[in-house]
Order: sequence, then structure tokens, then C-alpha cells
Amino acid sequence: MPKIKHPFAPEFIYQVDDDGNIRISNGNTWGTFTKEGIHLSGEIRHADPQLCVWVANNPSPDGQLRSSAVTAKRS
Amino acid sequence: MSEAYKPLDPVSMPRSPGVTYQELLDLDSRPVPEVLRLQSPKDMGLQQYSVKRYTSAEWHDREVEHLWKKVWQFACREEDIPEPGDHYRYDIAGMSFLVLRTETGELKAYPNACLHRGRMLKEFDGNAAELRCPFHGFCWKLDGQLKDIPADWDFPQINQDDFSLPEIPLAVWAGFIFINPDQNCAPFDDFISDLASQFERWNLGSLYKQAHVAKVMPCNWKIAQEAFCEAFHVNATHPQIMRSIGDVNSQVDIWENCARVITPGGTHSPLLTDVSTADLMRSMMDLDFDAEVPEVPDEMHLRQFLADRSRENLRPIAGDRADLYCDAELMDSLDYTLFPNFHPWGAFNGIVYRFRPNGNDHRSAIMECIMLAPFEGERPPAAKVHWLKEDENWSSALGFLGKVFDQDSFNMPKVQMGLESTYMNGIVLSGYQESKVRWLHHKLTEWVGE
Repeated sequence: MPKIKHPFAPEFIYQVDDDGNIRISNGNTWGTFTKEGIHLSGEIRHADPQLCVWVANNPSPDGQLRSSAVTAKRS
Repeated sequence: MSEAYKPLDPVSMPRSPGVTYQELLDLDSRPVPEVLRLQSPKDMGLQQYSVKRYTSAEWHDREVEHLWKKVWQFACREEDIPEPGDHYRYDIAGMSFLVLRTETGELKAYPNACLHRGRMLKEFDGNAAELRCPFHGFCWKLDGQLKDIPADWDFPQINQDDFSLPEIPLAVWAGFIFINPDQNCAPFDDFISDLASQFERWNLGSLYKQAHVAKVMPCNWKIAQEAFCEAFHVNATHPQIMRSIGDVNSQVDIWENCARVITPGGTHSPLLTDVSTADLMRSMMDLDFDAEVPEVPDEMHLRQFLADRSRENLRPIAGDRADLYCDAELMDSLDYTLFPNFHPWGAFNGIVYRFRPNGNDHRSAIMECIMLAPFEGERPPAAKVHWLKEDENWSSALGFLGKVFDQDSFNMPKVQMGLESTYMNGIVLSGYQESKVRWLHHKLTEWVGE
């Protein structure tokens, strides 16, 4: 699943969990959030909503309208 | 040039810490075209612009009367109507126009309205041998001359030699068809000259329309447009790309009828420190934070390394043309705006945006992204418009670029709601980084009033 460190707070790692929500962890604590950044559970109660939007957004190669549209897509 | 635009000295003007765009160009591995060396920063004051510009139906009505009915505006591509009889429906702010190709190959534009009872002549893009109204059957030739009036004995008041469809001004630049609803408008050549002179090197007419995606956005058209007119928002809206683009040291240039923001790629935001080369590359390639990335040779600047990779990716579709571009043309976002709503990117990117009101709902906009691409041999057919539904992401059609749009789109309805709620009378804009937005509002003031 995609995982990214927040540029301003790199100790926080954002990644999609098995339920399709966003799990944020800093090694000691964690929180889960919707893809819009709404808190669901866990000790970490605040997320950067735009980074949640980004991590949750994993388009299918099907339906892409230009040949280069998914060249940067993660493997 | 408007007296509102006071030239600034690019050297002494206030600007972000960190490397300047011109300093990055000095590191380019290839000759940098003069167009990238242009600098035209402007001091346009620090005034606020009324929130009503986004929230008031009365302001929208004034835009319709004084802007949309008067201004040159992009309607479609020439390649959208390649054959005689091909026609394209272009709508703006509750008005509809037909752009078509006649039997002789000439391009013409008419109000999309029957001269009898006013019904739209065509609801859809397509091909037709004549323009026959589906209501009572009045019919015109493609060149606009009257062809047939059913039961013409009953219309003695019509002089059939003087009942042609009214033509409206039409002009073509780089494959883009512009129309102007005002039959007494100023010449197109004057309107386009600023932009055209800067795009001579990047012949967008030689590209074909590979994709055309549109979506109705729940906000005023200017809210959607202004999300693409500065890079200052990157730190909050697109934090994941800060490691790989120089957001706040973008260069902003203002001319009379066009403006541009150049945002360098392959360099990190001055708002961040200690960004490793590997992290920069992961950010640029949308890879996980621990993904392996290629090694950059010691003697090579990162921008050159990444530009070389872009050249090789480009080569299969562009051939030797891939070698014509300098590193900056392959790495940077050259985001131009032609007033009021046409946004072609410079260089190879082939990205074009358009933003317009959705009918006469001032809280609804149509946002479009056109992707142009090079081709070898015969021109491929132009892509049809792909309309995204309300719940469909831009990324479903435009991949990585669409993911970025989805973050911008995430803001748009919240900006509309915030502007409906704010106790501020006006929006607050920065002096330099948001000077393209300021320029747009200066132009709107000229056309529409305060």
C-alpha cells in the first residue's frame, strides 16, 4: 500500500490500511482517518486532510485517457 | 500596458529565499530559449477584491454582459471539426454557439439559434450537410445562407436574400479556435499577440488532442481557475510534491493580456530543509518513502539527470524533437493564462486548462483539461470530451496529474462556502506570488467594473 512521510513532520507516516482508511503512525502512536481526514480511531487525532486525499487516491490504469497518465504510478 | 502594472526590478524586488528561477536556468545542460529568460514582474498594489465577485448573482450578470458577450474566448480545436459539416457546440454563461466547417473547409461560428422561433439548431457535436431546425424545419446552408423555409408563402415579411445566420468573429491560433460574441470586437491579433509571440517555439498546432476531460465543479469559475494561478498553495494543498518543486520561488510574469507562473521541478521547496536527492526523486515519481531510486552520477546536476530521463520517455512519440528541449522545458511547469480563462502550458507538457461558468449558476463552474501530444505520420483523431460524474475523480482519467487536481478540487467547494460566510469584504492576495490572480482581477475590473 502507498506510504508517505509528511514533509513538515516526517516522523508521521501516512498509508492506506486494509480497510481503505488512512493510518497515520509515528512509531509510538497511531490514528486512523477517512480519506478526507476525518478521525476514526486511535491516539493520533489530527491528520493533514490533503495528504489523506493523496494517499487514498490510487487510480486504476483502466480508463486512463492518455498514454503517459500512469507512467508515474507506483509499481 | 495598463498603468496599474508598475514594472519591478527582478533583482531588487522582494522575493523568496532560495535559488531563483533564473539561477536554475544558468545550470541548464542545454541552451535556454529566450522566452524563459524573459522576466516581467509587476507591482499592482495590494488592494483587496470584493468577495461579491464570487458570491453575487448580480456580479455574474455583469460578467455575462461585459465580459462573456464581449471577449475573445477559446471554443474548440480545429481538429474537433476536421471535415466539412462537422460542428461543435460551445456554451458560455447561458449562451450557445455553433462552430463549424463549411463545404469549402472554411471555419464559421453562429449563435446556436434558429432565426424563426429561436430553437437551438444543434444540441450535440456532430456532422450535418445543412443546419435544419428540428422545430419547424427552417434550414440554412453550412455557410450560413438561407436554404429553405417550409411554407414560405406564410412568411412574406422575410427577405430570403437577407435571412442568413449571423456570423460572429472567429480566429485560429495554434489549432485553437477562438470566437467572440461581439460582432464589433477588437482584432484578435492584438488580443493574442502577447501569448503568440511567446509560444512561437512551442508549436501547439503541431500537437493533437489526446484527451479532453471536463467536470462540473461546485464553485464560482474564478475559484476553480485561481487554484491554478499560483504555486503558493502547494505547501498546504499538495504537501507531497514540496520535496520536488520550488513552489514559493516560482517566477511570475505579467503582461497586458497574458501572464505566467513558472514553477521549477527537480528542486525542493525553500520551505523545506535537508531534502535528500533520493527523497526528491521519490516525491517526483510518486514513490513510497523507502522505495529504491536510481543513482544520480556525481558530476551531473539532478535536473539534468531527470530531464534526460524525460527526453528518453519522450523519444518514442516525439522522435528527435525530444532533443530540442532544454532541461527547464522538460522539468518545469510553464503555466500561462490568456485572459480571461485560457491556460496553455508552455514547452512539451501539452496541458491546457479552461474554466468557465456553468450556465448562469454563479456557484457552479466547468473545469476542463485538454492534453495535447506529439504524433508521427497522420494526425490521430481528436479525443472527444470525457465528462466526469460528480463522484468521479480526475485521477480516474488523468492519473498522476488528476491526483493533483483532486487535491485542488477538494478545496473548491470549501472556498465557495467560506467566501459565502466570511466577514471580510474582500480577498487578500500576496504582492508577488499571487500576482497572476491579482492581474486577473485587474483585468476583470477593466471589463466588468469594481
